[in-house]
Amino acid sequence: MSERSPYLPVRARLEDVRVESSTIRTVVLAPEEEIRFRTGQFVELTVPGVGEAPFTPSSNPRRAERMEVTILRAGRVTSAIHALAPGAEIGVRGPYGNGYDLGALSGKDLAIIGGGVGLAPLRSLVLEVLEEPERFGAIRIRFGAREPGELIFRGEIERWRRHPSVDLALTVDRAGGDGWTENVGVVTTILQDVAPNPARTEAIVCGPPVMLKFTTLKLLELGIPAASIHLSMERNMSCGVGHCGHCRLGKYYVCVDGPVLTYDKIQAEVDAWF
Amino acid sequence: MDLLFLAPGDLPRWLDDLARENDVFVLRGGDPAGAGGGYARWPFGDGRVPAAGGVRAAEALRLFLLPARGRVARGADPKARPRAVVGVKACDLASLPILDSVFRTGRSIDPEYVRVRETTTLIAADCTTSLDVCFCTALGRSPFPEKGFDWCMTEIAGGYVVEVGSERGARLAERAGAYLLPADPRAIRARSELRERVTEEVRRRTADAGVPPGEEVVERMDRARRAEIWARHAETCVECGNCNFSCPTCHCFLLADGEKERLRLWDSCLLASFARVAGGGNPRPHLADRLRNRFEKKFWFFPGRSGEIACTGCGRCTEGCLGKIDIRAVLRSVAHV
Repeated sequence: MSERSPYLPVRARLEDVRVESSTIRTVVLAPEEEIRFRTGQFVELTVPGVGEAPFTPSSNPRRAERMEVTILRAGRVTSAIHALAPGAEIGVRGPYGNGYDLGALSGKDLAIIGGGVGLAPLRSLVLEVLEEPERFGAIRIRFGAREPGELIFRGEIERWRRHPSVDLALTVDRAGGDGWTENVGVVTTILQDVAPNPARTEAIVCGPPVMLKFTTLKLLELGIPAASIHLSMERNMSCGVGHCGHCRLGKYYVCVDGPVLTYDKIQAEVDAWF
Repeated sequence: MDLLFLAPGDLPRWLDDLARENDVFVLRGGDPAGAGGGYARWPFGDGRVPAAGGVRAAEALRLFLLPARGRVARGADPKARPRAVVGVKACDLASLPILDSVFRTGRSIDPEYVRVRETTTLIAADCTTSLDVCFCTALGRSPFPEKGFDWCMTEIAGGYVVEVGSERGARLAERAGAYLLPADPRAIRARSELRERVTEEVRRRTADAGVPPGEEVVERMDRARRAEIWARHAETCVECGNCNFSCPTCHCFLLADGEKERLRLWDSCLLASFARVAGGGNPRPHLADRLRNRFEKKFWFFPGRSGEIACTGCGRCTEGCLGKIDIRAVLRSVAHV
């Protein structure tokens, strides 16, 4: 039995900060003790004296010594993280939860669908998948954002688009006037061709709750089975280890049984979407 | 082990002995009906004598294991003394397997909980009467302690019958040898009669209140949690959180950071902020959703997760509800969907 409290973080140094959009930044962390995570797992980040909040790293899990976390400014803790400069000290706990089950995904066509800051965990997944693309069938990526300026990881997205295994499309809710040449509309408007063979497709979806809901409905309509729709569920998670009770969703604690839950596990729950 | 007997005059002396190595908290009775009693530090200091009878304390046992506001410590406090809690009733002992399933089972354990749990001596006691809100028998439980204690004391005319329930209890009995006698057949008979009488009393209350059996509630809950019964029961809820804070099995907490240390604070699932996420979204925006969540958690989630109903029938949530929501009435609705 470890005597260390599961509620206390290890120290990490903030190595670098990248501005991704007006509201989203990526922080690069060097934890004092290496934190090895599976793609899709999450960590709790502490700003000393302010508090902590859960985030899924956006970096390649095979580069554990440099963990990147991409954060939307949404509240007290995220604003405090946005205010940090390189060299600052931050706390990290984790990793927690199940992460993406790459074993279950291998041999299948992948439909990777993200919205807004939901691209962050999916970047980690795409980076890992592209380490061994031969393990998977077609890799179809569909990303959306409210407007072009909020579509993050643009440089990398263009590199992935040129990868022979990847089929990628983008959309924005509103184009504005800055030369956007791709689709305009919510992310469900670019899903028609995301699963030509629905029975051998695994869909991985991450984004705000309303986007998860309508994407799930669209994927079901396309014929993808509920058990093949992998959703990153958003819940209030405080402890990360199934003790504090906040993140219960039906039979599951999102922090230990998720955050990735297939739709069959939650479709009967009245509070699955909000 | 055979039952033992402790004379009333020896109880304070034995508690004094116990207090040499432990911080001792003893149940003191409340009003003549038995309500409102609580644990007080021994020695009382006001000349009052301890008793082991009556009914459960107003506060749940978990207060000792998971304080309402606790520091998340880096390690054990070397100055901390072990504790003994005296007078714990069966409905509080019944919370221990549930709390244990959360905090000391599985991949992640809470070392602070484990330390306090393992260094707390539990001296249980029979209920010698019952409260209007009691319904432990409906959940297959009894108003007398059956397991989970170091000692169980039963108050009978002329003294206490003592049952040893653990190795630590046996060591305590060895050291208390000067006070303990073998229980005679008359005392043992008096204990059985008391148990039968109080059990019957709670059964009658439960029947009068129409409380459905626990297994029926569990069976119906999967349907009830999707039924339209919750808004009606939640109508008078004022979101005070008292049902949670007085509950022996509620375990939800928040981690909050102060300047120097991390705190663990009790949280309440009836409060609007409980499930709210960053940015303001809320999976359970209405009181009806949150009341449903509380019952779903206790009578559906826990039975599936750890095999136990996370309710002990103590009636504290009913007793303390400002909106007069009666858990027994909610359970009746669940059974009738």
